[in-house]
Amino acid sequence: MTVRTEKIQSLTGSAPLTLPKTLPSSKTNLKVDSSGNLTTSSVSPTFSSLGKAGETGWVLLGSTQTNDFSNGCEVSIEGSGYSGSDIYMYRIEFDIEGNRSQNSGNNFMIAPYAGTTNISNAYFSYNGFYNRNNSTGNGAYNTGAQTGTYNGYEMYFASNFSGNSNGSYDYESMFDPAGGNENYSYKGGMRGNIRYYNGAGMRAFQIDPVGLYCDEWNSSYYNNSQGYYFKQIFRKGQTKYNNATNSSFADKFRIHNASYSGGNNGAGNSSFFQRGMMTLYGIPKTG
Amino acid sequence: MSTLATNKIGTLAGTADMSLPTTRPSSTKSAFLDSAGNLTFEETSIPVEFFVADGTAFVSSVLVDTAYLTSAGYPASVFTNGGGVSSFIYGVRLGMWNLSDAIKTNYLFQKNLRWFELNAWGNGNADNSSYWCLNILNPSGGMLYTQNQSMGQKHFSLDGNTSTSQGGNMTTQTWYSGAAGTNQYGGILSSRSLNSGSTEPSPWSVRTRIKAAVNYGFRIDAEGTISNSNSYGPDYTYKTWCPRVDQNIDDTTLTRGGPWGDFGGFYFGTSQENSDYAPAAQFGSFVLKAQIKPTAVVLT
Repeated sequence: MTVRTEKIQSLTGSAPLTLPKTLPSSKTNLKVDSSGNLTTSSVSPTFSSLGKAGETGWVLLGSTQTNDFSNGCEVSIEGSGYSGSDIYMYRIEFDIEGNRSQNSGNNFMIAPYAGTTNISNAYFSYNGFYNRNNSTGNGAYNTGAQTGTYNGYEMYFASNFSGNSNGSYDYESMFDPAGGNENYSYKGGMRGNIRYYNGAGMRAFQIDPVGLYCDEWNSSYYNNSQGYYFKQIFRKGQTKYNNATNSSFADKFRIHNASYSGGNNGAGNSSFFQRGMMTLYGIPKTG
Repeated sequence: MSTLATNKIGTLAGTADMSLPTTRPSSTKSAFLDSAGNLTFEETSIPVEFFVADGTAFVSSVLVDTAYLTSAGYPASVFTNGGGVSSFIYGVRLGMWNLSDAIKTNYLFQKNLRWFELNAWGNGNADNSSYWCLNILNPSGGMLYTQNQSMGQKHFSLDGNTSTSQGGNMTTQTWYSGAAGTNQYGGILSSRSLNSGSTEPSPWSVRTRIKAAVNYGFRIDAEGTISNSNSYGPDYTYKTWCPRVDQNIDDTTLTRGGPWGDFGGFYFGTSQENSDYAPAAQFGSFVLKAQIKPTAVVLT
């Protein structure tokens, strides 16, 4: 049927439209051709869901920024409206720095949590990402889950992140045009992504073969007021999970130095702290 | 909304009552029709990648720019060096200057920007003995470094068949004030070459991330795959030669406006202006995204 839109709602235009006679079963894109035929698309992408109907795709679940060096950095889905059992794949995007000095590096591990409970499936040494300057061998699967609330971990990210212990600026200052101007203030760290399968059957970290970097300060390259260089990273093969379980679903992830995180009654050792930004994405099981 | 009973108009044969918007959008936008007959416009035309599922929508990633290379190869770009000499070099430029002010104001503002990430993939079938450069540009699309600044030179190699040592300063690939025809450009990030001495550039990929850092402005990560021989693939599929940043690039000659006041995008292409070094048939795809602190969608 033809509806003269300029005669309806006091519109002043001259755009006769031919409207559809039936409504779509779900929210659907519209098309208008030069003859004024208004039709719905055969597929139904929406602005916030560019996948097939009913599937949400990747959604942003949470983001944290830790400005001062702390006992680990965390990000969770709390407040997103989802629970751990809703998500079958996570992507954790992170930019984490350590506070160790050159030649006394910090190690970063990652652990999944269900609430406050560490639910790591076993633990892996030197899987995933590792400094090219060090051993190239894969670490073995280690029997027994390291599920301590603070000192447990599932994946050993990489080792020996070192910067310079000088400098008083915080993380946010790096992005501030009026930020600090300090000599020797570089902090070593790592940036990148890792994925985590949270679906039925088992839970497991999935190594993203690209997109992860780490670097460290080195006085050998010192010149002028700053100096650092980038390490070279191996993406190492993933040792298999011999005893992966799925008794609960992850809803939080923590990057820390597991060797020192559990000391001082959970306060950790302040010489091995982290800071930075973590952002959590996930694919819900239903749209 | 005003309800338009479309089944009461015209042939009266339909069953599609529609609720139409009472105002038009200020610009062309996508529209949607749902099963209740509500006809709505998209909230914003800003390209975004991720949202919070419930509640207010947040933007965490913004598509900044894209570029493509066809069989014509690299287009020529005019750059002016520190000596005031303008000349052509061959490559693509991607950056913030192609974005609307609304996007830059609402999302890509200082302290909200975290990093930029350039993903590029390509293939070619012509010899090219020029160095292959990835350089950083200012917000206007010009070279960030406009003179012979050794402190601006970084080097990494994506050549899979060369040694594993880290690159040093690109002292021979400096932006300097030479005469037209002899200038060389680039050196921030550079492969050894796209196809030095070989006949077939292998398919290649590059991912580069540039992140703010205190004092010196940026941390630059890069990795990729390429082989300099058509007989061998890269030694390591994903071997990373990251740039050694060995000097302060926060030069006093720059007008400091914070890290994102200086940086505006990337140049990717050959390092010399001689057209002989322009890949004659280089196919490629380039996508530049910005990662930001999750930011509420701003209706425009």
